[in-house]
Amino acid sequence: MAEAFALRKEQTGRLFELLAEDRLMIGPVSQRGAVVLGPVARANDLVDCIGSAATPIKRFFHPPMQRVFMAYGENGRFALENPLEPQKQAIFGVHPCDLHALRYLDRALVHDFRDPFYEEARRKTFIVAANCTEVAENCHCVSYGTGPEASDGFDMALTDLGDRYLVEVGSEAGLDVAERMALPAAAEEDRETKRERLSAAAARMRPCFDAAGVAELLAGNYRHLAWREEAARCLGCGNCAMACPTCYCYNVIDKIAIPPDRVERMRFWDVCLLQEFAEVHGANFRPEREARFQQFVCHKLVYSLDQYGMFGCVGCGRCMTWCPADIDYRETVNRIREGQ
Amino acid sequence: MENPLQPRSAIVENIERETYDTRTYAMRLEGSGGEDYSYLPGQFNMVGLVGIGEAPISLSSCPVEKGCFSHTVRAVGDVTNALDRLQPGGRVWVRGPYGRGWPIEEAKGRRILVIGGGIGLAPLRSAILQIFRQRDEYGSVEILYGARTPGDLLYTDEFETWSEQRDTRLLVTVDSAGEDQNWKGYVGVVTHLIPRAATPLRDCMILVCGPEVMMKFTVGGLLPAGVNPENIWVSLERRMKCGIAMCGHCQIGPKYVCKDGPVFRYSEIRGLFGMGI
Repeated sequence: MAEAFALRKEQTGRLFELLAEDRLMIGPVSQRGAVVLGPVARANDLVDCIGSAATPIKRFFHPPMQRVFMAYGENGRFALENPLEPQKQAIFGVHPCDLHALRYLDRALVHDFRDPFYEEARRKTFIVAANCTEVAENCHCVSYGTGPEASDGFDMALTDLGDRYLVEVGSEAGLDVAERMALPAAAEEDRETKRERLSAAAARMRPCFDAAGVAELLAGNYRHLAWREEAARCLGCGNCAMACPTCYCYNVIDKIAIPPDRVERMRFWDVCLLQEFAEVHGANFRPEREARFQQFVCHKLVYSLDQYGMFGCVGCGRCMTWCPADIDYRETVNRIREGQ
Repeated sequence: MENPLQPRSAIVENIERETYDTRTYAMRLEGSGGEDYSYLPGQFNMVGLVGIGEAPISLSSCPVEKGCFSHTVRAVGDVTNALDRLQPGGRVWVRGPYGRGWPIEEAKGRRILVIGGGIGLAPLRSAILQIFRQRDEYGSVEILYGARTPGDLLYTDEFETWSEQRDTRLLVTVDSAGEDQNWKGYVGVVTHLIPRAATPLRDCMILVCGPEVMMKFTVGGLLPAGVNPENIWVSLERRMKCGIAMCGHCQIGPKYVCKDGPVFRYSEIRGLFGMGI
């Protein structure tokens, strides 16, 4: 069992300050009516985040727009320079589903080849997880066993117990912080209250989706009409993939200064739902929206299992929360399952 | 921090005009270790220019020659048109080699049938030249090659040398001879050459590269003739932005064309081929 401590809520500021000594601080904050994960100046600016923040966690490890290298020179002669390395950061309020998203990205971006920017950011990040005692409408982590409790992948995990948090530590760095704060050990009844609150949260999640056997089901139904009918509602805007914490695809462009003595090669998030995603000269391998919608869903639920040994969906619900056409991939799967 | 997306500069030593829109660029990496650059036939490099971008381009040269390597490129996009404007001595940026190439080791002792369409002959040439360098280690070699018009045929100045190799046959066809009064060869798509092949189809390794539709019809012609799908190898083209299985563009089902391919045994991808997935 992980070592556990008690943290009174009024001490949260102290924890924040301690971590902020040499780190950029990130956490759930309110922005134009939505809760996002973003830079935080003071602990008082942190807000409770019920369900998933609009910001996917990937942004702090695999940024939406990132310099790959800089080139200085002219007339075709350039010297290349690596960009700055990621800096130390701490992220508050990371929900269990997002921790699983990071586990997924650990496999997608570090394999035979290693993304050094991602690896470095992972190494330099202190994670304060927040177990989910409250759930939002689209939360369905129970379908994938990715929540509402964080089992690992954090430095500290907090569970809201009313006037205090139960703090579990998951790393040396987390233990070090707990000791520096001289946090008292948690009472056994606090552990019990945590269990009760998390089972209550799990029970409140809409029990509408069973992930068992879904890969085999979809792999046998690539030509099912449900794909076409659901895709007909899709606007092809790509919000789902932007908001998805496991979508890692990127595109690359060269940004040229004027005069052209400096070039930055930039990579930025790309989305398989966009028309040109699979286009080459003279061919588009997914010309129809149906094929692109299917790619988005099947990458998560079928191909990922082969590629990374885990689902690419963590049940955070962002793709449906931020879909302007109210598409819920679970309905597509359920239609196929029920033979409609 | 080692950055796998940072390319190395290479000097273009020679440019060979193949057709009106296609050139072969022979290049050599600059800096230390450039002489050790080696690759397998069927692999590719990300080739680019700073300020323009990168494109995945297969190696078309004989891998036995170390240090110097070639890319045969058709000028159709931003990067390839920028390459087209280069002169010998010009500089390009290269990362690679990437991916899985042709099963050149497994093919030893076997008869080989090569089927190429258009620019698809480029990665096949790399295998053909390596086989010719080690001619005694392979059985008969037969090359079926098709292009749109006589003016689109690549490597025509090498055809004679290829045909003169021991136990080697080359059949060439064009979709349309057009105005070309001198064309005495076959007219029709490359799949029409399959029945004319002298190689026993059930007993050979078949290497195929060309536009996806051409490969689809080629495989569609081979399977009913009793060819084992294990013996057919195809090289796929996909959009690629990284070459290192991260940018996501080249995925076909669970496969990354850049890492698991671009050369696949047909039996590995038969459920995915031409499915739009």
